[in-house]
Amino acid sequence: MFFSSKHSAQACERSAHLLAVVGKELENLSPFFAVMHQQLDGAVQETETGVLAVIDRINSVHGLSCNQVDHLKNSMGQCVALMGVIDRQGKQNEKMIAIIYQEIQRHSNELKNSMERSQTLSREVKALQGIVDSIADIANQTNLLALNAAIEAAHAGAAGAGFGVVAAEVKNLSVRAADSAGEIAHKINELSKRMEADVAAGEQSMMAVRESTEVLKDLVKSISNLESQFNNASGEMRQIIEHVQTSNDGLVTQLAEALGQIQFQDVVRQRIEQVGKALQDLTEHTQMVTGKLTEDGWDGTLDSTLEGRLDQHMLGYVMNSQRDSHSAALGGPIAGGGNGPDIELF
Amino acid sequence: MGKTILIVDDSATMIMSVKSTLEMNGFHVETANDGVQALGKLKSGTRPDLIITDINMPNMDGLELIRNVKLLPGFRFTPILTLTTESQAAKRDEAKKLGATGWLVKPISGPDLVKVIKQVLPGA
Repeated sequence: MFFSSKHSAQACERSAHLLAVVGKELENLSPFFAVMHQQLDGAVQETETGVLAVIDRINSVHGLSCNQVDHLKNSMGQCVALMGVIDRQGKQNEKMIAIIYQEIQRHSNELKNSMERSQTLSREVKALQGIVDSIADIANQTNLLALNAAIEAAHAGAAGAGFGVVAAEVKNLSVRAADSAGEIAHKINELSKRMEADVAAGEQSMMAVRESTEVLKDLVKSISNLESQFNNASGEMRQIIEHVQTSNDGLVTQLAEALGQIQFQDVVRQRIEQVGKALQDLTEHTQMVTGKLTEDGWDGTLDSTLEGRLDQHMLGYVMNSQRDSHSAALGGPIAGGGNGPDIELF
Repeated sequence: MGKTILIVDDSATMIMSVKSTLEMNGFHVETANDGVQALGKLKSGTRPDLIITDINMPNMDGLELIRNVKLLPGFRFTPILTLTTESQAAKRDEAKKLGATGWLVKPISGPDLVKVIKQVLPGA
């Protein structure tokens, strides 16, 4: 009997010792869970910090892109303004060139008419040479007649004295006529030479006018080419800007997609917070069980069971993914999907 | 200037991601961390064209916020979209009953969000 009660006392002592060890371990679960909870909070904070930094970078990229587009648009605005100036200047140049062209044409026509008149006059002046030659010829013949008349007057003696005076006067007139004819011929010759020089100068001027007209035509062509090249360059720049704008729109779409994907952090945060609540719940449960273990006369009943607490957690979830994970861990059915579309307008 | 949108969410990352998306698309954005702060902003003069609110938030949740906004003078017809991880049909139905304009589930892509907003705010 004594032996039996000794063994019984030892068994009780052993049980008490084991209970104390289990109780102590259960007590240590609380700080263990607190550490885990703290770690989860830290992880959430780190992901939040990281995600906010990524969003900041995304905003910077967007800002830089917008600045680039604004800069290009500004350049395009200046380019369009410059095009306007060049267009106006081009029209002004065209007007000026047309006026100059008209003036040159008028001048050219006047010069041409003047040359034609000079040539006609020159021909007419040259024609005078024949008349002058005739006059000189007549003067020579008259001189010859006067000489014969003087000879005949001398033969007539005193009766021919008066006739001799007349013959002498006729001779003088013929000499003066011959001299005048020579002088006129000389003047006509000089005048002809001057007119020929004038006509030659006119032809030179005409040639210069034709060259000027060609230069003017080349100038018009060059200005037109310049405008055309500038318009082409402006068109290309406009295309580049449109391309950059399209790329920027695509970039904004991509960044907006990325910003949407970043929202995973909030989903993960809520799931981790739910795990944190579960750890806290477990801590409370452990403290309750530890308390019960040290309670005298504890009959084994609990205020709440782990199974009950797990069921409560199921009710606390907000996402179907949480419910599915919970159910999968316990071997239950997985609903999948949600309770409605992800986007619904009422 | 673009339309003004008030975002209500207790998550800093959600607020920043939605705010950035909307600002990139030309909207002006105001923010609040919960229903109480949002109501305070409305009472102190903020006049949003649209409110986007989370459902599960501390102090005042999204459903309570919708109820209060609808009672606030001048805000009865202000459209309210929910943007939440909440998947309970009962809460979706309650939001609809309280006068919410639509229900959006997180995460939502930026282009989809902008598309919905342009449906709710024609001409935005």
